[in-house]
This record gives sequence, C-alpha cells and structure tokens, in this order.
Amino acid sequence: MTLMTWLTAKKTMKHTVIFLLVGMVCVLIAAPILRTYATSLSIYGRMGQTTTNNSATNIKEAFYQPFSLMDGQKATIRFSANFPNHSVTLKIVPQGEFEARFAANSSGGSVTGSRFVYCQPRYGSNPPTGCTGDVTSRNIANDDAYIIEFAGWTSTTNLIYVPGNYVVLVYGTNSTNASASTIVRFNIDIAIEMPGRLIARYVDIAGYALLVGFSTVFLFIVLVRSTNEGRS
Amino acid sequence: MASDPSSGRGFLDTLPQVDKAKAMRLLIFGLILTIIAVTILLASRTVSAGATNWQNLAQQENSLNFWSGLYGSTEYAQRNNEILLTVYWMRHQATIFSVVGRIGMNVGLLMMILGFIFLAMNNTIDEKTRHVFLIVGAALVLIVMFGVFFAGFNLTINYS
Repeated sequence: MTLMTWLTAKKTMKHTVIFLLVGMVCVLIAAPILRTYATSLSIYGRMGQTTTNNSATNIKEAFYQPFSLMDGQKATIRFSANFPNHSVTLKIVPQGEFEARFAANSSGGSVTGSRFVYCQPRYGSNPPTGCTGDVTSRNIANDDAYIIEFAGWTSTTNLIYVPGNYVVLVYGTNSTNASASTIVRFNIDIAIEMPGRLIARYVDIAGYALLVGFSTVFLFIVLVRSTNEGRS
Repeated sequence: MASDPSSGRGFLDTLPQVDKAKAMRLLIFGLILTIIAVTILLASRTVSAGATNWQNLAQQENSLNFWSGLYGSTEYAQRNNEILLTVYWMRHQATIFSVVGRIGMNVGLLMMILGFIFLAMNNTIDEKTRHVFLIVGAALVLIVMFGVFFAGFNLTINYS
C-alpha cells in the first residue's frame, strides 16, 4: 500500500479522527483527573476520633492505624484537636516495636517512634519555614493543627525514605471530669502518596503526541482529497 | 546540454520537461511542508520563551497551596522540582523542534524551488509566466542559500 492510497482510504480518516479524540481525552480529561484524584490515597480519616484517658497508660486503649510505605513513598497525616482540657500525642511507630509494646500493654510515653516532619504553614513564608524536622512525637494541648510528613526517618526537615510497615499511634488525656473512661477527642486523616502526577505527565505527553501527529495526518488527508477532487 | 541561440530555443527549453500537474503538486506539498515546519518552529520557540512566565505562575500556585495547608514542605519541594523539570523541558524542546522545523522548512522550500523551476521549464505555459516562475524560484534559492550558509540570517515575523 503506497502512502497515497493509505491517505485516501476511508479507514485512515476514521482512525485519524478516533486518535485525535483519544488525544483530546488524554489531555483534557484523563490527565487532570489523575492529577487531582490519584495523587494521594486517604486510608483513614475522621473528625472527632475518640479514645479514652486510659490510652496514655495502656497502649491497647490508644488509637492505632497501621500502614505500609514502599520505596520513595511518603505518608501525609493531618492531625488536629479543638477540645478543652485535652492533651493528645501522635507518634509513628515501626510495626515491630509497636507489636512488642502492644503485647506488653506499655504506656504510650514509653514508645520511641520514628522521626517525622511537622508543618504549620505560615502565609507568605518560604517553605520549609513553618516546618520542624527530626521529631518523634507531636503533642497538642487543647487546640492546634499540624500537617505531618513521614517516610521512615528524617534529617532536619528532609525526609529519608525507609520502606516498611508502620503504625500511627495517638494517645491522650482529658482532664474534664477525669476518669479512666473519659473520652479524648482529636481529628486525624492519614493519606499515602500515589504516583498520580507522574502517570498524568505520561498521559499528557501521549495525548499531545497523538494530537500533533494525527492533526498533521488529518491535514495531509484533506489536502490529498481536495487535490484528487480538483483533478476529477 | 548547452543552449543554442541560433536555433531560437532558450536555455529553459533545453532542460528535461516535467508534467505541469506534477510540478504543481510538488509546489503545493512544498508549501504545506514549509508552513507546517515553520509553525512547529515558531510554536516551540513561543513555548520556550514563555517558560519563565509559566514557572512563576506554577510556583506561585504551589506556594499558595502550601500556605493554605494543602500539603507540607516535602510535597512543596517535590512539586517545585517537578515544575523546574517541566521548565527545563520547555526550554530544551526548542532545540529539538528548531532542528526538526528547520530541516522541514528547507526540504519544503527545496520542493517549492523545484516546483517553480519545473513550471518555468514547461513549454506549454506562456513565456512571461515562465519567467515569473523562474524569478520566484531564484528568489527562493537565495533565501535557502542565506539560511543554509549564513547562521546569522533570519526572518523576523511578528506573530504576537
């Protein structure tokens, strides 16, 4: 089949239009959706999550949520509290250590935890201003909100990727009518990073390549057809 | 083959004849190829020239997202580095597409020159029109020669 017969074939025009549409879908629909919704995966999120006063002394009473990190993957945790007489503490513990402490039903304070970075962004500042690294726990007394970034370990405010299984541990106290069963409240959202933006970039490139390539083919088809019509 | 003035035949008449339709097709395809190549070249240069503006826009958007607490400093740094990678590509693609565009433009112009020369050689067309074809073809040869042999030669087109 020569180039001319390929260009004049009815199927070629049909395929060209289909590829142009696929290119448009990639650039206008698929890539923005991936960029918006596939960047992070929320594995646990709750406003007003509860635990009890007992959680500070008995780890079995505390809030814990396990998660896994692969190489080059990080977790973003939103941790906040807005309740009077509360003191809540968050730690991120490697699963091995957590299981040992859990079996012994140790106190939350005796758990060491891995290093993470916490941020309280300040409007107009240059990042990482507003962020603190090399910490193994974050405590909120009554009211505060933090964005915590965790990848296994840190060096100042830079994350060091250590893949593995971890557990988010939250324990605390509520001194209002304090008893062992008094409820302690806090807000938490745990999200794992997903490769959405990377995939979206490749989808974008594929979409643009299809649009540029097949619009050129489309132009040649129209040109060849108009030349043939003029001749006949 | 040298032209013979005594025979009454011009230099052009002594050259091989090419079908008028073929010459016209060569001319049109050359024109289309040149237009596509120059469009690619100009579009890629516009993208490259606009890279810094896009970088400022994307980085400001990234800062606003960080300040409003959408993500932390590592995510900010990651996105900032991705923005830089895109900006470097926006600048570097001009090198690739300028080469592609320039080759396409020169091939297209060569096709147009051949088209004009073949039309000028066609003795079924009247003499004056053939001379016009020859002059236009020669002008295109000059443009291509300047473009190929002198790096400083360029045509400035205001497209903004």
